[in-house]
Amino acid sequence: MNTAFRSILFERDHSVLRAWVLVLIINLIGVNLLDELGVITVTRAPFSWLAVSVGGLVFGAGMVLSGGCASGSCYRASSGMVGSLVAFGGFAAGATAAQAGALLPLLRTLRSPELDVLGQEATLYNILSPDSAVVKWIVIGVLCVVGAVWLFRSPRQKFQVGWPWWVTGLALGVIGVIAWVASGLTRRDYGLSIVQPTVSLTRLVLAGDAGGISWATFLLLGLPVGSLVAAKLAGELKLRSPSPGRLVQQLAGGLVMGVGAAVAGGCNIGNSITGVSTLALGSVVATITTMLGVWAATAVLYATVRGSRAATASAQRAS
Amino acid sequence: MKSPIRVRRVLIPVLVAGLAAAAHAQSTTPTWVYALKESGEIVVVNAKTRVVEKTIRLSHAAPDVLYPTPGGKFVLVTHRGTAVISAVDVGLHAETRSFVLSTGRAATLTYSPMGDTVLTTQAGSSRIELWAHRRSVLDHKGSVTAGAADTGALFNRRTTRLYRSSTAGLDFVYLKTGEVISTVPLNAGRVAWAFTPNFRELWGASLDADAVVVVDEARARLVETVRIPHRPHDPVFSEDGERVYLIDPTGRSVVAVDTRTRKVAGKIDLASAVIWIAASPNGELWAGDPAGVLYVADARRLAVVARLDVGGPVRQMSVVQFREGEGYACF
Repeated sequence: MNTAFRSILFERDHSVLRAWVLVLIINLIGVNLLDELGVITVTRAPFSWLAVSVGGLVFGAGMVLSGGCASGSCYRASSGMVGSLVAFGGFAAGATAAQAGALLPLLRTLRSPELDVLGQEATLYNILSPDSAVVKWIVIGVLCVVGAVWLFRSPRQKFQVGWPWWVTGLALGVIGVIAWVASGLTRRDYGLSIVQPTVSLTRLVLAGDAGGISWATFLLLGLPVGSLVAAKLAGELKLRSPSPGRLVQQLAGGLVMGVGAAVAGGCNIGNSITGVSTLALGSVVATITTMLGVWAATAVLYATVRGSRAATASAQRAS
Repeated sequence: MKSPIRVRRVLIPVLVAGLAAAAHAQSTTPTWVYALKESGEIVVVNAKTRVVEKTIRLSHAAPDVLYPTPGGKFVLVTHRGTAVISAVDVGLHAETRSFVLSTGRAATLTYSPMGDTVLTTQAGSSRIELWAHRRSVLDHKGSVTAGAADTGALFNRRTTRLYRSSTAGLDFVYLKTGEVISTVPLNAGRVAWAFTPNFRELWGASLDADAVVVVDEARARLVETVRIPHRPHDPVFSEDGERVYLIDPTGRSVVAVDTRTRKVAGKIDLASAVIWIAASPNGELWAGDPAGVLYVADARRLAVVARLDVGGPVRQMSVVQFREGEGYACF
């Protein structure tokens, strides 16, 4: 998702972004339809406007520093990338510190101002008309049509690594909907997520507290297994370690990412895919602020690199 | 270039071990039945072994009703004739503190599903007192007035709304302002309410008519009236929400209603008149009579599988299981 958000401003290739939009279209229709039919029960996080704004910004910046999002770090780690493993470790530590450790008072303070719509979690449709199914489906229809038109008008992908964007989007979109059904069978009324299972697994390993173990924990445990198999099949399974300085940066980025995700109530998966597909206003705001955090951190990073290169070139000319 | 470390041979066993540990952790959460005897003692029964493990004696006399927290860490106990509340730590099966409610004796006490808020009502009053609940301590937050009060009230999942019977029907109260935002008209008289486990519907057993009404929470409308003779009461949902169980007024049977078809699925016949039922998380239904006889039924097969005697008489019983749930985490 780091790549998808960064590409909006800084790159010409928007393939990953297109995949994400396709995932959202599939989930907007599938998840909400299943909810209407009573097959699943959609739950949404409350709109803690301060927490999602600050958390999203911090999470986005952390993604850039660490070189990838939380799930990205997890799957890259199993293909042998040591830096991603370190980043994910930092993410686990940061998220756990915010949810259950020293930063918990900060999280509670940021989460305390909440906005709701007559006692229901704020969504893109009930802020227009509470309790109206018609308005809900009009909003979903408009979003899906706009997204679909943009996808159809997108230029052909010139350079492709791995699956084309539409295959990725379709696969992940369907998995996202299935996740709601599978999770609902265990009475967990939510879809794909990474933060909560990471924190609960960390608490199990470090403190023996199994209270948070759920369906999502097994999702998280399955993620590296799947990526390991995929990496092996693609011939990309190889141990790679960056420089010590880069390792430190990725660790710091992971820590920042973890804190941000915990404060925002979810990461790019929990908010930007699962939460947005339920039209939860908190997840929409968190996604927007995450994008802003990615853009800001990327701009600073590029400026730093440019400044460093300019200084090096100047020094070489002088010598 | 081959990797110097065989990642697969290290990673896969670690993941398998992690999966096994997580599965084991999930399956060993203990469940108990707390039986409050007329003598004032609380008998603790292990729901799995069906053996009495301990007897708790409280420091204050005349314990009245048991109220387990949603997370199962504590059980609050009210006392007859006083505003004292005792708190029992379920991990220790022992009283850890007691305190006095500043607003006076509570007739009913209801937790929010997340356990962070408690509401209390008083006999003959339409005021609902709201309390912040944290680790068995209650701090008064304010009160709400909404309609007539004699059948208790319920919170929604996030403790932002309250649902309470009024003369007009079922009131939806917005907790932030105390305003009644919607009223679902019902011709069912006095109704005792329960939420489905997924909080989509409220099911109400009428105390004045042979009916169980079903209200859609999101749309605030009546969706079904299930006709069940003899006015069964005290609706209790199975953990998976597929069935709701009600006590037949004679007390000698428990009626099971399928929540999808909204039809009576069967009944469990009992040897004595029970006054309490509860659904255990492992798919059993527990029922208790005033003499202290506990029935354990297979909730799917609708048949009694065990019976034990805690040595009554018993005022009330409650199923308690420790689980994550107190406090909102994140996704």
